Amino acid sequence: MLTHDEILELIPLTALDAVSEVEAQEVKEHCAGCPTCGSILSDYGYVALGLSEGVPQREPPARLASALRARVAPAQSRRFAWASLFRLPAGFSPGMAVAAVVFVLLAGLGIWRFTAPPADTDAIEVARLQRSTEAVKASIKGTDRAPSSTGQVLADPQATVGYLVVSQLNVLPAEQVYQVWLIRSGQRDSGGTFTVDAQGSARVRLQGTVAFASYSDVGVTVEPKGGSPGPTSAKVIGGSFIPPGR
Amino acid sequence: MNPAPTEVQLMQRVVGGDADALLMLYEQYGRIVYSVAMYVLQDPQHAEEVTQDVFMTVWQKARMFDLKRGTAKSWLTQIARNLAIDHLRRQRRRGQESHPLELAEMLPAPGTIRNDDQHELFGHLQKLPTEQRQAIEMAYYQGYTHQEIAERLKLPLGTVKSRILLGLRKLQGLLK
Repeated sequence: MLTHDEILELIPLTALDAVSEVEAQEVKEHCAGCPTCGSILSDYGYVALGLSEGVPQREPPARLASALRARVAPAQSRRFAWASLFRLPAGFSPGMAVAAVVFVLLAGLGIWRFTAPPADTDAIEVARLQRSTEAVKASIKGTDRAPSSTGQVLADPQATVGYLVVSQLNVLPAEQVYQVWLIRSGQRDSGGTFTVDAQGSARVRLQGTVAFASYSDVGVTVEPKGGSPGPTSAKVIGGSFIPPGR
Repeated sequence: MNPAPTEVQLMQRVVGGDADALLMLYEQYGRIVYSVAMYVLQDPQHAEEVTQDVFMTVWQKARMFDLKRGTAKSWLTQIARNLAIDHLRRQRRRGQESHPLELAEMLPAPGTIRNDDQHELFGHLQKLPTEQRQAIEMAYYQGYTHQEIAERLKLPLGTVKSRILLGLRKLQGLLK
């Protein structure tokens, strides 16, 4: 637990996002309950904001707009009409200024990311990995137990977190789940369990035991709800990892 | 002729899944987002990726935007910085350090478009004593913690803290 003086010393560093996550959290919690420190953090937050907005302006390439359009167009038809449920306040009173800056500052510290629905973050991460030439990737295909099923496993080579994207798997009974097995030198590490939606699709965050560069193959089996310590049924879908750049 | 939609109207339309509204937002703020990504990453290809990711984040999380808590520009700018710094940190973890610390490489590239009003604070940063500016640049634009800065510059932690504090105080004083 940091003292008040130690917090004061960390506030300028926090405004620049130059502290550890633990320190940032402690400063944030302290400032939430201490108007003096909250105000100091807000002041430095203004400076940090100016440093971001003041960088030299560069013209983005024209292809960026069309690339963005291509990415959002397919998703548009799947979006729900949130606008009918959501109204943003139009006012902005001066009394809200301190809270505003603290919020913007917290955004700078990544707080938005911590409070965001994980599925959205995962979608962005999957899109990044799919574009990346440095990621390890495995194209996976269904066995005779799910012959139409296809998918992909993606991860940064040194990361222990990766992603599985799969489609056309059978919907399982409530007491069963799919379980992912990450294979290295004959050893099978559980990467997590999942279920599929009504269309047989899923996007799953996988937790490896070691860096994904160490894994050679991946397989998915059907297991009892809660998962198994090792596979207890035949593989439903699987494939081999391809090293980056190939 | 209809007036141009306000920031709030645009965000509401994005929340409702209007791709055209997102592209209008890009038209308004794509340049500052790309500029932040470029300044942090110093790599056009990675800056393009980050810029796309920023607007995809907005596409998916626009309902989290609240005008009471800041402008869309501030929100987008901070998301851009976060994602660019994340990108840098991932590169560093993979041993692909592409940011030598020489300050010359952090200077604005020739031919960049400047707006004196917007860039006032940034301009003042360039005028700080080199050691203060270096510490602030490493922290804010390169994503190093104060401990990492101390290690990389082989300086006591207290010295790094002092440099950042002195520099920030000067910049803060110029805003008043």
